[in-house]
Amino acid sequence: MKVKNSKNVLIETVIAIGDLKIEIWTSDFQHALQGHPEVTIEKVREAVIKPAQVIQSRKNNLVCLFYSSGLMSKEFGTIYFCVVVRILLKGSGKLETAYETNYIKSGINLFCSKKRGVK
Amino acid sequence: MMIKYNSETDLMYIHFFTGISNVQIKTSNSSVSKFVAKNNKEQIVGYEIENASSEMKYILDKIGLNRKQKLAVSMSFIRERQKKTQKEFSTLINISESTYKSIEKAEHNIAFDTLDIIYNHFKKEEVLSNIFN
Repeated sequence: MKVKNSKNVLIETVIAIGDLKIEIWTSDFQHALQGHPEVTIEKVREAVIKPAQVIQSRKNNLVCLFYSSGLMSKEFGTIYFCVVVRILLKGSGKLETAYETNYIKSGINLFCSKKRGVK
Repeated sequence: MMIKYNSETDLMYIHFFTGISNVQIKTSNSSVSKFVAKNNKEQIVGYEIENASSEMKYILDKIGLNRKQKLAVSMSFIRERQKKTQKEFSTLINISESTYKSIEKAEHNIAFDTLDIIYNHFKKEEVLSNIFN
């Protein structure tokens, strides 16, 4: 088990779409969970393994956004689960945070599922 | 208040509340989005800021932060840019770790001598001029 310090431990490494190895560390996951109680490790796994869309941020090319299929909401329209990943080296990345959003950011489209849409 | 800034990605997350289910929505600034409570769209739970280093003036002036919150955001930004932990940073500026942590959470009132230490240590930091001037 990788340990950065007593408070920051590697929870798991998820093999995402495109064989990208995404590390999930306790400090980042706790931040996501505190800020967004709807975040679960299962949702993070699902979004990076079977995303509906993957976007490379237009603002910073080290950032990739993994979006799940959307769910319809009366209040917000379509809600997507988004996992923000920081690309480290070639083929590896690290969870920055995760949250629900009602829009997909513009950027370079790295992947778009044919099944993309609203569940 | 909870702040997370990564100088590599230039992403900043500011949360005023924790434990409230929320959804990210756009704002008029393309680099700034806000998180609003699912059960009350009017309640802003927090913000995500892309290109934070270029948007510091916007963050400090336009999203309704009070002085303590502005100081918290600024100190977190300066510390992460220097790639220091909270413990390392508190040692560097010679205040206790717990005091420093409470500054970044915008908790409690800050003693004048602590403000003095910060002011004297970071006189040249532009982001702090908004708070001290």
